[in-house]
Amino acid sequence: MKDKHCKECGLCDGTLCNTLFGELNLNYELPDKFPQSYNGLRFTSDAMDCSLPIAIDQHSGCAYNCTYCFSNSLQRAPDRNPAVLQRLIKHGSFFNEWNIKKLEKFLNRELKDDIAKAMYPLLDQGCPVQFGALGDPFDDLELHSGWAKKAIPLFIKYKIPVRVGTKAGINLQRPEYLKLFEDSPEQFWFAFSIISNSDDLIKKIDIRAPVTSERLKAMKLLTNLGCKASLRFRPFLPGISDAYPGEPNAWEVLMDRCNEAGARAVSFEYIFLNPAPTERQAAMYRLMFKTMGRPNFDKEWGKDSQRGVWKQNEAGLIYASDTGSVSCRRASRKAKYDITMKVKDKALSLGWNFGCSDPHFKEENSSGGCCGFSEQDKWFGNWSRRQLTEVIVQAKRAYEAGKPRQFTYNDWRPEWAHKVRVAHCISLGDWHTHRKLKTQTFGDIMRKKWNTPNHPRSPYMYFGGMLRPVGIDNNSGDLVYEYRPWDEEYDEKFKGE
Amino acid sequence: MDKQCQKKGSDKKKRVPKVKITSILENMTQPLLFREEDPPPNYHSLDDFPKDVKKMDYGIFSFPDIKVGKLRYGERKFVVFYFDNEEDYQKVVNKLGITIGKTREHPNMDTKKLLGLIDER
Repeated sequence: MKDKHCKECGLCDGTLCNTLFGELNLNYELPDKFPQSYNGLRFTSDAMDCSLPIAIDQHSGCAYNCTYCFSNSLQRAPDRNPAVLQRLIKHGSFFNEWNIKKLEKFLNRELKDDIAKAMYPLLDQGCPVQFGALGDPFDDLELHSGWAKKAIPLFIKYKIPVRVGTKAGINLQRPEYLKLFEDSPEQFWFAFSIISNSDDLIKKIDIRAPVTSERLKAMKLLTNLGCKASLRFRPFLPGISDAYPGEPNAWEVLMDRCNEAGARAVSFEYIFLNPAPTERQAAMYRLMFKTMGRPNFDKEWGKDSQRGVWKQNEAGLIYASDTGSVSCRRASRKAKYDITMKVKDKALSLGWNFGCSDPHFKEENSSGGCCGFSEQDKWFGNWSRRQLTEVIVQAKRAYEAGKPRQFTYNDWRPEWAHKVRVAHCISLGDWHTHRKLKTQTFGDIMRKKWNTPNHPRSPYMYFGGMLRPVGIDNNSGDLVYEYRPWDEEYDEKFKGE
Repeated sequence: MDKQCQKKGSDKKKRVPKVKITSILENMTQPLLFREEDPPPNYHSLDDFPKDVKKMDYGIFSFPDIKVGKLRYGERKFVVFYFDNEEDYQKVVNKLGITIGKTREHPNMDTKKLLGLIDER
């Protein structure tokens, strides 16, 4: 079964599907209609430092199999969640879908659950929504279901600014899709995810996704219509994104091509690795490392990581020896400094906004989000300020203006987070954790992280020491943080302990 | 017979403490739920509340009086037992005086009593 399909597919050496498909009797054909059991509306779990906390996905998965995709680390990944395979067995479909009627109810403020109610004030204040947060909204599943064709007119009807995250270079060139945006193009911002200038390299990494040149064609058509677009240059992969044989300045060439296609911002982030990948994920990493020309990248990465050492076990799985609860294995600021500054300088020279979604160098952002929106933008300038990216950007501005500003939790406390349970935003993993946290809100967890500087997601650790705790506010009992500038030597002192 | 059945059924319905469970859940979740009377939140800007900053004269990672969220569940140690036999489970539950059968947990269990039982041995 596996060998047969492997020959038909030919995209990898068999390692990708090995764990996932095993001996299952699969039906690869998509059902006429996806089961309508998916809940595609949620607050993003990254909302602690994300300017767009409302995320919408119409399907439970994605047709593209990108080797670095962070959704492989989440419960929607089939090899992390047995329910996905159960759905396949019972309904003949890997994927389920959010009922389009619920989208209209949500936009019309008719949904009455706590999540929707907490979102309405954000919508009322003009906060854009993410469309395509965990999967591509214009992939081949969309082509099969036509969900977005019904959704785009609804977004226009209810005047909701939409930031689309996509790689769908071919589907978005189709006239029937381009036509959808004609009535209000400026209401849509397309963040095109492109990590390599080379079509040959990208098709080995973004398996099944359209190549770079197709994405740029779609970007050009959309910006000609009046839509806004940006380059989502993440994850930045050495050997693929920066340079490759024959193109020593590939990153710069790509940015120039995006500029010609109408992009006006970049959102940058250096690669991070999951410290505990599944077998399938580790196989995808191996494929990625091979394409990067660095088959031992996981070991090299250990040298530049902030904490711990990467090791490889007998099965060839990479893991971090002492990461504790760190979920993203990132390089040190020092290792990323040069290329980050080059990308920033290039973006500014093109007249773009610079956004960095990597927690390191977020303080360099042109504005308090990592999408690259302008504060003056009529549609996209109303992002939520109540998050840590805004805090660190404002803290840096105040410091550089000679008036250092102190922040405590209440200064950025996002109200919505105190109205939803933590389990609505984060998969709690096991029942015991669920039981411990069942009466806490997501806001309680945010506040706890704010007040626990050695937590990997505390402002101190997360930003690599740029926000430092300077005392306790007697009025609220919460920690007070201040911005401190960084220099290359600081990494030696920053042990995160 | 029919009447008896109906009566039994109605009694059974009365015995199920639906109202009580609902009220317990409401009490547990009330602080978390959306309230219509809440003022509209501000998402357009950061605040700058007045601060009374107490400088720390100890290491930045040791905060004996730090507030870590509204509730401190994570700070309490707990032990979970699994029982193969229902009888053993009932025996332990009765001995410890755990009266909440639904959730099978006792957030306010008398730790002193438990320790006393262990010390007796």
